[in-house]
Amino acid sequence: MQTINAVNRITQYLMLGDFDSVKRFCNSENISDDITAWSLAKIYAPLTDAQTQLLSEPILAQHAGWCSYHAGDYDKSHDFFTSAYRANTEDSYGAGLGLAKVYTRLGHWEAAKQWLLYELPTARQQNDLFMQAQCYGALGEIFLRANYPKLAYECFGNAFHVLPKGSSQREKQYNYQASALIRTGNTEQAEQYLMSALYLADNKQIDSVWHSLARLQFLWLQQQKTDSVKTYYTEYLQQKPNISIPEGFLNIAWAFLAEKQQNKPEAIQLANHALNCFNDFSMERAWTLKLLQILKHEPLTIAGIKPIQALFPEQTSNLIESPWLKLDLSEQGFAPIQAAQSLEQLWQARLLFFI
Amino acid sequence: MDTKIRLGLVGMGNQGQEYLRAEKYCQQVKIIAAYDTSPTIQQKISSNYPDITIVESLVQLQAQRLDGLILALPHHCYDEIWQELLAFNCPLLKEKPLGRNIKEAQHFINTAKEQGCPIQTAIQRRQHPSYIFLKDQLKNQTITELRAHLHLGFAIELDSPNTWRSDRKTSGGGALLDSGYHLIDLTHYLIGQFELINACLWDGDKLIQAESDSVESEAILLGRQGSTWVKIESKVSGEACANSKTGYKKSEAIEIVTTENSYLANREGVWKNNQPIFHCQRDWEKAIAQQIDDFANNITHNHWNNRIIWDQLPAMQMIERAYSLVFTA
Repeated sequence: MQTINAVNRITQYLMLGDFDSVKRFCNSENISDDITAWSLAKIYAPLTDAQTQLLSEPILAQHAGWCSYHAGDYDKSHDFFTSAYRANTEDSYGAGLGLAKVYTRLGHWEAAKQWLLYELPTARQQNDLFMQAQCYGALGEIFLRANYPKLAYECFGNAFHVLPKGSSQREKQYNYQASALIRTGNTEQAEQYLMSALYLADNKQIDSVWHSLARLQFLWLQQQKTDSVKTYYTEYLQQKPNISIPEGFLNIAWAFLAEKQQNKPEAIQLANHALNCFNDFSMERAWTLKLLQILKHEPLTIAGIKPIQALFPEQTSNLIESPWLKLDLSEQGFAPIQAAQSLEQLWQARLLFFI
Repeated sequence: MDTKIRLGLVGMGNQGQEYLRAEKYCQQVKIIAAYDTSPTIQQKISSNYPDITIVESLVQLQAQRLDGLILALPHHCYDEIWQELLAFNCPLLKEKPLGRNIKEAQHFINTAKEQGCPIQTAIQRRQHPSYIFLKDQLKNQTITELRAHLHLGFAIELDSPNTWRSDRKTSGGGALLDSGYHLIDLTHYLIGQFELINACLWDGDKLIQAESDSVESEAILLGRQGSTWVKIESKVSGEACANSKTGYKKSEAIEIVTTENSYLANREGVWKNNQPIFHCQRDWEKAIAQQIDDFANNITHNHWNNRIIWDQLPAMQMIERAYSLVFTA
């Protein structure tokens, strides 16, 4: 009975995306080793060797896939998720989301979309609300990058509302919705979402704060404003984020701002800082490198990305999102970065990223 | 002696004229008199339908000894004349939506009840043979996904000037309240009530977020009822289509996946696992005629407690929830 209660408790936390509570529960309660191992794998937490012995191959492969993904090693991540999918067992569930995230990062947006549309009906059948929220969030990200902001907004809204009231990570979701509204031109509403995101994150969710401010800075630049978020939100920026991506984006935005103010040395310095932030993220790095080359009048190098043969799901039976299956994103991707020859083209290329 | 139910028509615009065209297929009904404020329309209808008495006021219409009234006015017109309509003291078949908002819908129902005037909302799709056949097919099946769409195929923007539909005060709403009403009602008819999860309303590329904003040309809802997930998509335009005069494809369908089969139904028929299982020869006018006959039947048997009557408010409630979700986002 104790085991059943523990699984029930953890499942409830997972359904709300409340990873902190899962971790706390696993650390504080006397629960069996296999359930602890399974729970930690579900929240992508580090596993001991003993714990890995208790998990199935597909679950281990997915765990390794996420670890590689967060480290920016998309080749490895792709191999792990592919292996989890091909195992074709109950534990393969979720590998599609992993593959979709990898393909998004590599510019294979059609494949990414197909995997999410493949995973969603299963998540619905299993009443797995957090998986649905993750899939809709990932789908929104692809539509955003591929320039379908209305669909992106719909997906982010679905991700937000499908979760029960009081779920975790709301501040992130407000940021996502703001991104979509910036692209649709609903900039006032976008600012309101960013305000809500900042308000909810406060100083506790520091990564989200940096994501909000990066989006706000890009929005102001888009509106031809020359204000810097540094001036108004200094206290938020005292603490560095745990992940370097939003710091990179904010520095890129500041680099564009400095360039606009004809302060090229500062623009170069900021772009260099962004480059360091993007060490593990190939396309963001390629974008920044090109910006630096243009700022320094250096010859442009073509950003290389190691090609991966995209895998597609065998069969997708998704009725709810069926029109999106027909939406062809195969011509999309990061090609505009490779083709960019000017500052203006690099400015436009920001739309390929989740900002 | 003619024993047909004698109906009067209030409003002879596009919707009112659909009733006039459909009447020839009715078994139990005769539209004997009609009223509209526009002299141009009065003249046109008078020449096209010489058997119908065209009147110039509601008072003249009331003098026609009517068994029931069909109400086909623009959404905002009822508020002012509602008491005059109730004074007819007869059953009312009111074109959907029941009200511009839930408050108005409840007001109409409550006041009509006090006056002893049964009120029935005209929602023709329930009477359509395809959807009736589909409902029968779904018996004892577990539905996992339902997707309903209605694309009107219009090129005109709802915010074009000088139309009552373009103003939220007069229309009450756009694609959600108008064509969306049909889809919500049809979904209720097929699977019962569902809970709303998310709603997105757009006026072109502009997000609708406040009551004062323009009227929506697109409404997209996500909902669920237990393990059945529902998506509803109502658009004034639709998919781009080079062959269409408007540039948009007119389209309507309900698609359903059950644990065993898949279905598609529209006004032409029903398909099961991509194979046709029902073909519908009956056109739209006959579905409207069926509805008028059902209304007549309710009048004859004084039968005002059937599902059509009881299901009028839930559709309005769902629409209200969707607007509320969007307006308070």
